[in-house]
Amino acid sequence: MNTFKRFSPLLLILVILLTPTVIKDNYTFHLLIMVAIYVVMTQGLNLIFGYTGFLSFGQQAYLAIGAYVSAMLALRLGLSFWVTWPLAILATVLVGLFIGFVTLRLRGAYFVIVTIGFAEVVRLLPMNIDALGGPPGLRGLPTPNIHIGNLININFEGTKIPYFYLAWAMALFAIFIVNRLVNSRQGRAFLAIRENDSLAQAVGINIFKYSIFSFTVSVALAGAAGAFFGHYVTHISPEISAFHWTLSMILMVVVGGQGTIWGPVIGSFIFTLLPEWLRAAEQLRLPIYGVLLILAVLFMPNGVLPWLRKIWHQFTEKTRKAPPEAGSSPTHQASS
Amino acid sequence: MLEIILQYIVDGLMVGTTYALVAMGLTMIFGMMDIINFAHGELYMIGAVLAYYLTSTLKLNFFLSLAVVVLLTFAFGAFLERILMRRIRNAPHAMTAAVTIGLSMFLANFVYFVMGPVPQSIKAPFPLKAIFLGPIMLTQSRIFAAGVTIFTIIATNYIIKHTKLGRAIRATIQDHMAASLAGVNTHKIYSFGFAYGTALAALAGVLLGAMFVVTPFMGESMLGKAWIVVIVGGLGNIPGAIFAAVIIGVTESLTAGLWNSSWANMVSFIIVIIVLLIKPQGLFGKATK
Repeated sequence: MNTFKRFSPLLLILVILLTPTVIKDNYTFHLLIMVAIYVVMTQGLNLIFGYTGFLSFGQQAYLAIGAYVSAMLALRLGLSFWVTWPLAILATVLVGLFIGFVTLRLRGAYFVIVTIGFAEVVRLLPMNIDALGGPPGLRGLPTPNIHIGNLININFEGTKIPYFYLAWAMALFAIFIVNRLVNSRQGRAFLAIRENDSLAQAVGINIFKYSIFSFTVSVALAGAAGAFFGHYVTHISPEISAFHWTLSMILMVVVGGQGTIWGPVIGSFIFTLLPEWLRAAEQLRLPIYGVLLILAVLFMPNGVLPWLRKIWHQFTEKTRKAPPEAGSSPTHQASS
Repeated sequence: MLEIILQYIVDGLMVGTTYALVAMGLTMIFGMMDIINFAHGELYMIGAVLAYYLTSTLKLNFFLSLAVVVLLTFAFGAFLERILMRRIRNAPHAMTAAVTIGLSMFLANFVYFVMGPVPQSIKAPFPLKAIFLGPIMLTQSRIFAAGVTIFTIIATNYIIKHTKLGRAIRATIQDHMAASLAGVNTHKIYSFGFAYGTALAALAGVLLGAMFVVTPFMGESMLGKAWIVVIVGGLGNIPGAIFAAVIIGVTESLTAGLWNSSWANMVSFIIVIIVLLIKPQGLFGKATK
């Protein structure tokens, strides 16, 4: 298990690098790119929700802010994606800081509704402001082509492979950041806030400060994913601020395994690919999806990953009692 | 100008009271079982869709359909509580959210599968002729809706305040362990609470469905409104919910009438955010635990 753990990141990078030798069709690439974008978003949601205990229902707002800031800078000022991307993330961080400052004093259902409310306000802005494209949105976003002299020429048009590599580089970076964060002093503070905020405060953790920190990293990841998505599909509309984005993220995190690093990754795969497999069921696809979701949560309340781990432990250590799983039981304490 | 504003206020009052029906069920379910019910909008939708089928396919009288819908959805609510809600009662919010989101997806899309995408309308026996109260115009369907709503609210209030059942409900909301120790069958109370909340939402669905149109996805926007009402009124607070429903209804009507209907929701959400900043427990909420 330990050697596997040590080499698993390298193995993962190798798998990603070799994917284009196996997969040839564009549609599969598109799905895998969407998985990577979802991985970035769910790592962000998982940080604020799975690890810190705030169920943020407005992540789509930061997705939209990232996408729109990057698109406006690229279209109006003619800047390259490689300039607008960091600027878009910066803008998302600033908005996130402000909103976090206002909302993170609230808990439970109140926090949920204010995050929804803010997202609703953000959704209505591009719909009603003509300079932001109105309901049809903005078209013709530049692709992230790289031209450095005559040496490096990476063209993103016509092929999905550069996007695939860039998306997964971003996803791995997000996983790396969140992993480093939750295994640090900050991460332990997040867990303390999730499990019992009054106790955390009593032992000297500045809840507000750490919550804002967690929230800001979380929205920065959403902004990065949103900006990337805009330049990937080269067209954004107010649809990017629709609630179903956050809905998908929550399902991925909850079903995959909240408060674990790889749970949301598994969730991202399941909920990007499952609707495709269910396509055969035609119009009954979404009702089936709903039932599957209910069953998954009822029978695997901690998510797929802890469930798989449990089965693995039972399989490998039949005689000994399975050791307790570290950091993967965000259950009954988290709902205060 | 003043007459127009007055007209908008009256329209808002009448629609707003029906929001209170949905919000009352939502806040009751939250207060009792600690479940954030994301499927509550779909329960509202099911009321409207059932009424549509009863009046059009079965050609039932509108008022009879109303009664049948209330009874059927009460039974449906009890059934849902038995097979699903009982399992997630007092579970972490993320889990209740995920399960009720799953339920909402199932209900909305299943009804879409059965009913199709064409918006339908409930045949109500109200003449289109308006009644004039001075400069203010009222339609009979709105007067009927407001009347039924006010009656239901008063009846609910009576049940909760003055009957044995109501006392058991209040005890369960306050402390379900203590209530159970004192001999209250809390299982039954939860069933009743969820069924009652379902029937209230469905009733609102019939009333508003008779004024506007019936679609499989009409629950989504209602859920947002109901949550706004619940939060502004204070979680678990029924009189607060009624007052907040009226405020939200009037605000919406004024924003839509004087400005632009697409900003109406935004104004309500801004009200929520301001209320929460000044009084995080809602306008009528008591200080938090």
